[in-house]
Amino acid sequence: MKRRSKAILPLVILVSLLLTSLVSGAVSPIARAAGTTYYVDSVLGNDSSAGTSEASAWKTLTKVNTMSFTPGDRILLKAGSVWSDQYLDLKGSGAEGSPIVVDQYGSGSKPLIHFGNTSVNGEGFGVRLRNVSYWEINNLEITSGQQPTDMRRHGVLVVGEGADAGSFRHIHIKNLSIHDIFGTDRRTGGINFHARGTNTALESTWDGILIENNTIINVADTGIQTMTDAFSNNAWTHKSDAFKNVVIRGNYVEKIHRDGILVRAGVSPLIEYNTTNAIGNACDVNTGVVSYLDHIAVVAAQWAYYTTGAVFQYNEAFDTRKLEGDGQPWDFDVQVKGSVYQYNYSHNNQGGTLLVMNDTDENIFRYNISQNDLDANGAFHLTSGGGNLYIYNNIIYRSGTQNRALTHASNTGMAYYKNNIFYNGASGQYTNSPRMTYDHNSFYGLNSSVANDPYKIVGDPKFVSPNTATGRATADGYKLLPTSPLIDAGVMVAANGGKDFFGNPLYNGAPDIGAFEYQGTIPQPVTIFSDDFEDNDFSDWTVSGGSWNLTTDGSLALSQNTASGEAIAYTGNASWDDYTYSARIKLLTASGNVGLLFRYMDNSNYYTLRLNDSGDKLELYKKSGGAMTLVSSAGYAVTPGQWAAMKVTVSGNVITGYVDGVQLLQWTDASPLPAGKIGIRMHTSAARMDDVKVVQ
Amino acid sequence: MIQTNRKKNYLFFVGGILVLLVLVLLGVRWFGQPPASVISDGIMEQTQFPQDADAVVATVDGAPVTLEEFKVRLPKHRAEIMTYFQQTYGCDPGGTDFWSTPCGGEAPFARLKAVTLRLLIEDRVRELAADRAGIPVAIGYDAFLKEWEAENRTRADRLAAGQVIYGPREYSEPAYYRYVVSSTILGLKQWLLEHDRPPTEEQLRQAYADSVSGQSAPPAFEAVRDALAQQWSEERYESWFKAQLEQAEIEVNQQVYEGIML
Repeated sequence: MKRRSKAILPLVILVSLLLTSLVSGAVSPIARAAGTTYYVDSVLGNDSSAGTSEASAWKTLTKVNTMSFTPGDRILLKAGSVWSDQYLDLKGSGAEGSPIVVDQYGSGSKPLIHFGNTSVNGEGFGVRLRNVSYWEINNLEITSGQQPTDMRRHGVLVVGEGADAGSFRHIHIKNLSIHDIFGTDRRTGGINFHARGTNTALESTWDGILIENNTIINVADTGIQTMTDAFSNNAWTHKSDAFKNVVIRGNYVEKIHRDGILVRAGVSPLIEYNTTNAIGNACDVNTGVVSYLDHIAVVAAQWAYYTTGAVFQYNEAFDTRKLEGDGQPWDFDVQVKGSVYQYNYSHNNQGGTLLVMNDTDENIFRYNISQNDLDANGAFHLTSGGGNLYIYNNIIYRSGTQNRALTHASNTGMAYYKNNIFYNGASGQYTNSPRMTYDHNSFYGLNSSVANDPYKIVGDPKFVSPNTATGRATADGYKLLPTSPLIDAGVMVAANGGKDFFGNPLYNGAPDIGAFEYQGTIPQPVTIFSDDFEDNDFSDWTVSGGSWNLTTDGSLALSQNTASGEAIAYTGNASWDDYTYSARIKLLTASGNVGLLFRYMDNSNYYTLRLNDSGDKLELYKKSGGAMTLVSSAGYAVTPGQWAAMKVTVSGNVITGYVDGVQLLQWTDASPLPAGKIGIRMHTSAARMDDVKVVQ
Repeated sequence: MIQTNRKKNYLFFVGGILVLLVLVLLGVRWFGQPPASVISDGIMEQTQFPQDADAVVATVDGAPVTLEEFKVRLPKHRAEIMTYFQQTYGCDPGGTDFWSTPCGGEAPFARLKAVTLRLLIEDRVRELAADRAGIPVAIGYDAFLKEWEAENRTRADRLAAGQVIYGPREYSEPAYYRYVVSSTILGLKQWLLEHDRPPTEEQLRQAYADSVSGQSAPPAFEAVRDALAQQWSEERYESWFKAQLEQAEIEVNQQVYEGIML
């Protein structure tokens, strides 16, 4: 290695330090080694030259591979250069604050390393970093093309193995274009980190990995992965922490034979702003040449394995294929704990939305949007042996023919579904299991009544414009209209990440259901009528049938005391159209009935939502032109002698009924009664009423 | 069908002569080898392009493939051509004269041009078909560039406002090109599924029988059903797209195309 004159070098360092101190005002605590810059030009270079200037550039990567570089060195490859049947096998290590940098110089196409069918000890690579630290690799194009020889191949291989294995630090890989590389097993692909060795060999770990803004297209097997042989070596101890401070950001990964982005044995890796597309048996390859690709089953797009504290966010995944199973964009795989998927967008993935494997625990899936993922395994697939899982404020939107289960539970830990929107365009089912709870979810479409959610909302979520997330950067169509019933209708979740899918802070008033926290002001309901009868007066009520008085039942209440025939009391304004009417109701007669009257026009035209002790039901009747018709009902355990809080909301042609705060039924009337008063009605029953309120 | 537009060729020929005269007067070497300092770099610096900034290399049903677009896509296929010549003829793609010297009876640069043109024609055919199918798509390179720039602006604006995006914070032009191509193909496959009938159970079972023929332990039909349906969709798209290509009216402007030379 030719170096600058020893007499000049100290001077250069001194000047550098002086300049640094002048600029920053203080000398950096870590002195950056000056290093040497080497130039490589595939056309005009000459390996006999010094390599230390553009005019004296080296010619081949073979020359680079003979060197052992030192902290602060830079190896610059000329833009537009092409090296065929050559590769970079880089040696030496940088130091903290003084990494060794590979980059391009000049303008034009990225320097191209076409390593073809070359190999070292039976495996091919474009760039190898073996048993080294503090390297930064930038701005290269790497390919092998389709080669007939069956071997492991890598765009970039970062490997720790042999006598020099150990703890490595600071490997940054940025702005590479890696394409058309095909290997023979799952330890191959685009960018691979591998702690490699047998049970008695030294074990390797890495701290400080950045894989950023790379494009990886048409690669077998996996796009980006970290791997340790600790999984098969009992004596190795870093099964769950071989890779620390890992950031995988802004990569575009397409046409991959196996998995897209896979972090194994990571501690708190951050995987964000990546897009994966066409994952699983998706290589564009001439099988007459590349005849050795593995048979592939069960892949996922962006996932972790034996990892704690992973954060996957702001990623997009589409066209992940189900191959004899799996095929989801997201996957808490085996031994993944305390990890999060948030603010991700998935669509058109065959396997569904989320896979959760065995031996997982305390994982969170929140504020994600799934737009027409397919459902080969249902939307959520929680396999046996999983632990606790928190699924909240996601949107699962299906407008196609998907008809498998939208929810799922494991047979061990608990799955908690809160504040999610399930938009079920076909006939997807909901799972009920002792291993899951539902709380304040929105279920729209068929089977909405099936899920055991005491606070479910089954009305139209009223998205701004669903299924239109084609603008790539956004999914604004999944925001809620001001009229959405989901605004302020959710339940508080602690430690919720602090913002919604669109970056809005949580919460604005009460929590909303779905991935969007409505930011506008919601008109507060106005009470247009109330009566608690404490004025000892019910002269503003009109009665028909029965015997009515006020009686003390805790407080004064309106009471009808004759259990024969029809008894009605009504009040209010005939012009009231849309409103919410609530009251406390107590049925006094066993096997009797009592209900709220609304849009009451006269004794022949009204609706009534009633409790029926005979059959334990909540029933919605419509009386029109004197004909009484049961239009909807739901199971409810009526207890005579006990107060029940009844509520009905009538909005246009949609009627929603609640008892004790739980929505139990909803019905849409094709030709609704337009407006009317409120009241109480019973038949062959005695009952009481108190705390009447009407709000608009 | 590839045709040559003779009338346009004539006009371009006359125009080209005039441009040539001006360049000669300006002392610029137009034909022949460029100076050694220029040839020292990659394929792009070895390549000479006609000087007309608005030149059109070809049209597809009237939609242009511009010279500017051709320039951008040309180097992207260099690795593919290198692999082809290495494997087919044993040529050395690392040689300094690789692009300019015929090998195995073929000229690598001519093949690079042909592959570039073919893929650009496919782009245009796909874009026009998507447009007819009602799938939002930019037609042509100018529109694509505008869409790409707008996309990155939107991403930057949203990030600056503390809002959420998904996928890269800034798409490189090549990555965004792939994203758009993939999304368009996905849209067309869905459109085909909606307008054709999806494969019948009988067709899928026949495909299964064909795929497991000779296997000693084949997977169960249900296990591979989705993969077979996917394959059916792929093949349907491929055959449909081939027909679109065959039906397209393609005119290559030979004056411009031949003017792209080493």
